[in-house]
Amino acid sequence: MTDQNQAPISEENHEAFLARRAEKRRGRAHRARHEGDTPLNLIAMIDMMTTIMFFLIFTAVLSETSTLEVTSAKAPSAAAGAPSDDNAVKVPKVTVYISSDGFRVLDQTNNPDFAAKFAGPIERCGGGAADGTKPTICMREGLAETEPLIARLDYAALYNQLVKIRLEPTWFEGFGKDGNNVVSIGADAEIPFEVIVKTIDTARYILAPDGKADPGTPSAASNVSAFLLGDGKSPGPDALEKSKFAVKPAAGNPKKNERFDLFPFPSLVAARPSGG
Amino acid sequence: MAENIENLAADNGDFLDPYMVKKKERRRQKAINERIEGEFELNLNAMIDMMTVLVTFLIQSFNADPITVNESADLRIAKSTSDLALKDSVAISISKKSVMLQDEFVVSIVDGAIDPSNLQSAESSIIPLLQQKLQERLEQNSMWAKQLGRPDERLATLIVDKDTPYKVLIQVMTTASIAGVQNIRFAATKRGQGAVVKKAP
Repeated sequence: MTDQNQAPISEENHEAFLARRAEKRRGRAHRARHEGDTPLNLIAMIDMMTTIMFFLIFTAVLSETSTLEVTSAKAPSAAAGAPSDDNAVKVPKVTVYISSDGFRVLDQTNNPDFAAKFAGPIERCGGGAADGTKPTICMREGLAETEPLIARLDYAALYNQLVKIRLEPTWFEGFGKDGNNVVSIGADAEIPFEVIVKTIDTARYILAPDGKADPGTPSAASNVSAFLLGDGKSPGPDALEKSKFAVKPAAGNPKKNERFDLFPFPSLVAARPSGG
Repeated sequence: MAENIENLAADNGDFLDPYMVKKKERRRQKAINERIEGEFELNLNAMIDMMTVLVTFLIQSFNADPITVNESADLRIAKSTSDLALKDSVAISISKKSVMLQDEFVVSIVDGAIDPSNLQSAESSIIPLLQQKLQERLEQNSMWAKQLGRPDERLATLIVDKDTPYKVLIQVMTTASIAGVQNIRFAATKRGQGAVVKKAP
């Protein structure tokens, strides 16, 4: 395929041919500019995107991390303040102690009303006065000891007990003042961290029991049973897990919801020696 | 080739443009070669679209937390309903095997306990090495906070394995308090309240 094989072209035709060719080239360049006809080299972009994608996939953390604020064993606690008025109602300072046999609910102020009503074992656990030998909330029934401690502890019953304490009309108004809405959490030396976190979660906010009518705003005149899980009898763990936080529109921002405090500020106290 | 040019000239009956003829011939030949050798051009548009969507999604969900929580077999954090966000602070990790300050190893944990030789005394809850390193870190942070005109919060975030015994937790927390930490937070995986759980038998 050489020039010799082509049809002969006269000089006049050749000039016309060159003119037309130049015109066509100009036309092509114009179209390329205005119609985006230039083939785009995408290889560099694909390489870059692949690299970014792999980097992001390997570094992506798809579970959201949150934090829980606590006061430590030795740090100055918000609970440290005592009621300033000696004639004021003594508001209990609640402690939840976790052992391998259940929860003990105690009061640091040794309020006799508290000891009589709330420190003793609940009905399911035999009832009676608090003598320290039996836990306030014993372990859930029907579970083998091989099950993890977090599954055997009766968190729903603990929640009900804390709600009863919080809504007790005698001291309802006193909570929230002088740091009384702090709950101290203590545990045996070997209790795992996840049990502590779940106890803190259980104690922080009031829930709207699942399947019940809205319990309304907690107050000294509230019907306590409206806030109790499982009608206050023997709620299972699903009663706690299915219930949502009771909320109200926030004071400054009606579009945001605000939770009702139960004991929102946890404070960890020193561990009891093993086997104690 | 010459035959093609003649044919074209015969068909059109007008001036034959050798340039165009050559070009058409080259295109025809290229198409034949591609069919024979299977050299089809790959349409990358769909792939680029997909990659763009993926990259956008990943950038959106990219973890921009001030503290990186790297979970591993030895460090599985507990779940909590708290919605308090992570804050820039000193990170102390307690895994099944060690206590780390930021990314620096401090003491080891064996069988769920800190070796008593790493404690101030056998009965003490204070870990002197952690206290010293923590004090240095807090002083550094205070200096930076002062220079940047920010409040010196002296906040520590504890990234704790869910099986860590309470005794070890209290030892670390007591040491942190003595070292000058004023606020302590636990890192946790966020979970919702109201989720359905499997009933116990």
